[in-house]
Amino acid sequence: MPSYTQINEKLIEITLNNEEVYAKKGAMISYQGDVLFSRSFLTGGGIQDLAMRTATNEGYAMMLAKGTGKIYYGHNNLFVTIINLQNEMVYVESDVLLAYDNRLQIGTMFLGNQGGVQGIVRGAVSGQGLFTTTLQGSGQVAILSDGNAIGIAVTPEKPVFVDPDAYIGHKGNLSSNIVTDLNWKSFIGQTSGESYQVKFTGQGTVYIQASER
Amino acid sequence: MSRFNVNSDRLLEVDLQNEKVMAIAGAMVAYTGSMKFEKSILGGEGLFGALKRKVTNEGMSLMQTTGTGTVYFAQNAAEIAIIALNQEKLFIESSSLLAYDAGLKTNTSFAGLRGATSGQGLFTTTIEGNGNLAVISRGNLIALEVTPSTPLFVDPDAFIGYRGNVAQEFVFDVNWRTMVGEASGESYQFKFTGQGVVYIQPAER
Repeated sequence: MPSYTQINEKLIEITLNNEEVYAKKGAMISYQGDVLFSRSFLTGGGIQDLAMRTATNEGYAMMLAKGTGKIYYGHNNLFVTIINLQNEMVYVESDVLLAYDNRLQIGTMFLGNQGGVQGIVRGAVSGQGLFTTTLQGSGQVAILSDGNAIGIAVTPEKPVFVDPDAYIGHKGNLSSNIVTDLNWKSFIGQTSGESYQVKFTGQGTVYIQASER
Repeated sequence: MSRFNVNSDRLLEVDLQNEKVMAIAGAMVAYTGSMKFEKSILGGEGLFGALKRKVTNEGMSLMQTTGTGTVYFAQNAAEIAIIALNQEKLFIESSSLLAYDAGLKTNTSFAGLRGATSGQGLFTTTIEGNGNLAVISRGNLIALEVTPSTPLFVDPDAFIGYRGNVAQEFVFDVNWRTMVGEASGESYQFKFTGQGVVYIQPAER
């Protein structure tokens, strides 16, 4: 089983024992041992998934590393967070995905399937596209963020509202919808800059970063 | 009073119990509970204060957050530090201010002729009273003490703000080398004398 270790806030180490790991293309910084790198077209998702990705623009260039040894990954001075999944599904934007392996099943999700019309509106308004990437199973995934990523717990009694520009992903059994906060000041051009948010309800965790795109 | 907490260096967490906090417009990244965000047109300074800001270019676009719950603020992944004021006055560049307790009063004050060369304008923001404020900096905020026997010199590009009974002046370190184009890159500084604290960042604008 590949093991993920956080070296510092911007660097992770993945140990392989005759195993494979997928990572963002160009994110390898150094490695030790006997590891081969190759461009991965199917990224563990099969032909249909690839076609879906191409069609939906949730595409990303992934690199497959295979062998025995240690690999260090980092990207653009961004912060790296390792998320542990216990038979769960995590939703992330494809461009923040740094590394994952075969323990997780990767897929593309149409936002409309998840939140109905609200989901579509969310994608369109936040500029993050109408599709998002999903990873399902038990294992680990490393994600990138500008500034530390923090996970905010969502419970049925305590919904969480996030700025779509700071949202990077979520896991658990959550549903999302857009809420707006408009008042007369918005209409005379004096907005607070926080006129709409995504509201998450249910049980799970929402990940945000300390910066707005 | 609203409680300020820094969550992992770059994220400010403010707990509100039916209270108010002011923050740079657009800096909210998430919240729980029930919150209302409104553009603060006058910034709590009245009509005259707002006018003064407009004229002096120490402009700040502020929003007022009211409600009960926890709200998270962040700005461009910059480091955040919390300063607690206890009936004190802090001088700060408006671009370094992230959020402050609505109980604090802000104003604009003339900072002397330093601005023309340092590019930070002739005016600065003052904030006074009782409460917390959050400051953003590139790299961790550093507080340096000034005492009557040890004046402090600061590079204007790294300067963030100061508090206490401190006098600020502008000093030049120009010699014949500067004239022939061989400057050390440190030809002018702020000099602080008196008793107080000066805040700087480990990066130069």
